[in-house]
Amino acid sequence: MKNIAYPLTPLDFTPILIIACLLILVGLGIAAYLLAAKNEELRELKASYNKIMGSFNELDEQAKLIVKTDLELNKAQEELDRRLKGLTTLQNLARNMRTSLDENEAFQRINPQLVAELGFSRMLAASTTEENDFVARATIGLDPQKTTATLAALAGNSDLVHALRNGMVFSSLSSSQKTRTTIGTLLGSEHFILTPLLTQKGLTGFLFTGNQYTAPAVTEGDEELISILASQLAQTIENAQLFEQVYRSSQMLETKVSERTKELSLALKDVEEISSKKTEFISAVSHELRTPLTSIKGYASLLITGKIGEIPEAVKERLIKINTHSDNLVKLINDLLDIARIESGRVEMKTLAQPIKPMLNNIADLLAPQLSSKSLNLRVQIQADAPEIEFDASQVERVFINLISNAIKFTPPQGTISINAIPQWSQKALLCEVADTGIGIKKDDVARVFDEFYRVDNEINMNVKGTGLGLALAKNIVEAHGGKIWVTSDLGVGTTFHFTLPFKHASKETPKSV
Amino acid sequence: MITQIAIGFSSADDPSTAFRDAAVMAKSQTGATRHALAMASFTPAYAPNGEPNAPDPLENLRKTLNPEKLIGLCAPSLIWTNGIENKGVMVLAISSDELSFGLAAKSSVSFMPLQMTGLKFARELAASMPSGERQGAVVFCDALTLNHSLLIRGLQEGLGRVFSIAGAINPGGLLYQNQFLTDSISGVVFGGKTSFVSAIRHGWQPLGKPRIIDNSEGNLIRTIDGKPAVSIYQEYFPEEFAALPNRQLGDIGLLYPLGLSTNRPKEYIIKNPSGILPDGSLICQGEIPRGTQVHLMIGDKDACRQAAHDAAVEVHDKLHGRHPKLIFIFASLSRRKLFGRSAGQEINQIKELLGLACPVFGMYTNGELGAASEMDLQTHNAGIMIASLG
Repeated sequence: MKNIAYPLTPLDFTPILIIACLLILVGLGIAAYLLAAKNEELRELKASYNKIMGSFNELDEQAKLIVKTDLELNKAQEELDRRLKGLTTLQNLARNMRTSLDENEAFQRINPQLVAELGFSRMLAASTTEENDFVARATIGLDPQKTTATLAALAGNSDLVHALRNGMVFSSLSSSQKTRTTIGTLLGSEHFILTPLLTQKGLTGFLFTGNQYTAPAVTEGDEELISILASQLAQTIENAQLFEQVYRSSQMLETKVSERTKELSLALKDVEEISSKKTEFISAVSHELRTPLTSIKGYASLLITGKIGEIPEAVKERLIKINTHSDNLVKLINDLLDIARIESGRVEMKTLAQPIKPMLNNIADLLAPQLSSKSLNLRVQIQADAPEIEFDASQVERVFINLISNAIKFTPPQGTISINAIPQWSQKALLCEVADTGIGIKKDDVARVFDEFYRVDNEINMNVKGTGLGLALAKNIVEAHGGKIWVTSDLGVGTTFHFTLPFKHASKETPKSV
Repeated sequence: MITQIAIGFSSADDPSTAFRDAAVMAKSQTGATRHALAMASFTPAYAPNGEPNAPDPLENLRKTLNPEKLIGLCAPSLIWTNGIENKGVMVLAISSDELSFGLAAKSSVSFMPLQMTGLKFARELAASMPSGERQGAVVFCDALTLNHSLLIRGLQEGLGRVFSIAGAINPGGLLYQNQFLTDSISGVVFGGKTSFVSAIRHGWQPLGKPRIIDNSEGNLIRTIDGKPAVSIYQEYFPEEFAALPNRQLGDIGLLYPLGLSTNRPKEYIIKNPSGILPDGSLICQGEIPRGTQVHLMIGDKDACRQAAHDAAVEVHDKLHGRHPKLIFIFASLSRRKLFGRSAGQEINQIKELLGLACPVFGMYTNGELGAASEMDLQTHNAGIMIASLG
């Protein structure tokens, strides 16, 4: 066996080192490459981050704009809500105030709830006195004890009062800093509105509304709202004052009317007493006159007959005149007595339900000679459905005779006299009319023809004698039946006398004897 | 078995008269001489003033309804069967031999450990009724600036997740039996042969870029994107912010709340900042988790109306065909502000869905308590909580 020995040589690490170095270099290269790549990535990431941050910041800037707009919208909505609420409150208040005619009541409507609904915590309503001072009428949220001093200070500020008189509105929104400080300090409110209460008389007071410094500031809308409230309040005060004025006048008038009525009642009583005495006097005098007149007339008639002895013709003529005048005088006295009796209630209407036609026929017969002598036509028209009525035939006959006699007297020959009887069903009365085609009555005389002793001033009356009592008597008789009498006339055309007779005679409440 | 549920309302100026008139109105509908439960809500002007010798405005209510249990909460505006009222007293009266009720309350809560108080309150509320009977609860709280999340965590712990809880947070005091309490929490648990279901939605939409709450503490948001939290409002509302009174966001906070992102896409928990601290931190209701993404939110009437509709549909579906006997609506003041005079439309659509004749007991709130879908009970803002006894 051959042993081969190899000499030991030192190990050669060079290639290994070279390889290792190469490997390290490669590794470093890779690492450098990777680092560079990472750096690039980081740069990109940083750029992206910056971009994102930029976007975020941009977003944030936009968000700030959105927030600003949103805040403005919220404020606008809040203001709108406040105004709507204020307007609703004002509308309700105005509705209540419109119905109020009491000044105190108008001020009482200012209460804490109203003030709160208008968006304020303080309110002071004051009115002016005759001495041009201010007096508090409603105080909400302010110390009433301090208010008196505040009002005195305000009244003493002539510039302020002058401006209020001119309708100037002060507020913490629109007034100058000086005024804001003056009013704000006086009334202890940073936010306020001070409005005058103006009526046609001028400044009648003021309305102050305020808030503490923590509350929202006054807006233009608040100013408008409070001005409307002040105007409404002033209007109510004015209405209340006018009502008070009218009420007082009415009270005074009522007092005066009451006094006058009392005076008139007393006067009427006096008149009635005088009238009663007059009636009694006339009645007594008439009686006293009628007795000697009867004797005079009797003796005159006796002398005329010549039974006592023949009398000369001239004496006879005179005696006939005495007799005629005595007749006239007796008629006058009888009429006077009748009127006096009716007025004093001593004549009783003896009413009986009966048709009116027979009575009118009798009257036509009775007056036929007179009508004929003047060639006058008489027309009598009684409606077929005219019912029976309750009346005193002898008295109503006198009315017709009086009226027809007058018609005959004042109607020229060939004229016509009409008598109508028409039922007035709605008034439950018979309407009677005596119409002529005579000379007529002047307007001034129409109202007086029923007065006692009144005679219309015309040519016929001057020639024909009369007492002036016929129509007065007719009026008394008609009224004693519960009817009415009146006259219509056209001068130169004719006259119509109308009177009514109720279907049924006056009830028990109306005296049967008048 | 008969259950009579009725609501009365009055806006009489005098509080005693208003409570009496509202109670009389409710009683005239139930016709009962004694009522198992009375619930009341009233606007601030009607709150008992708490003075020892002052006349008790609730005396008339108690005399009229003779209620076994009484609970109530002050509210800026009331929602009831006939609409929305800015002033007045609303009284709900229940007379029933098939429903049962339990009450509990804790006062002076801000002086006590909140989670423990919530737990104690929940245990007392639960103890007021056997566990098998409990169907749901309504909780009222008048402590506005607290970190409610701790209180609610305790509440959730004590009551569990078995039944629905609906609640309202408002300042101004609450009624509990014969007492008028402030800085308190109270609740009523409903039991018996009934079901109590609830749903909560908001409808607010995110606006602008997302931001991160990088520092928070309890119910305070300290910083957002490294800046004092209030700067988000300063940026969006520079002019309005300058005119704002100190430490108050007012209407801006109501109309443009903050939306905290949740685990679910496009779902946000809304927070109305109720105040500003001198360092620019924002005070909210409930716990604010650090690192949460936050958006400024904007209200859209259509979206909000749709959200209310969706909540009503959810309640309707959860009732499984049972007819609602009573509807509770706790709607955020933000919605009142957003809708303005058309606020009634939002309420009407709920009534149209759940029953126009069904009594409605509701109010506008500063915070709503409820559990959104598959989430824990928590304080919401800008939302509408609908609950119903079926």
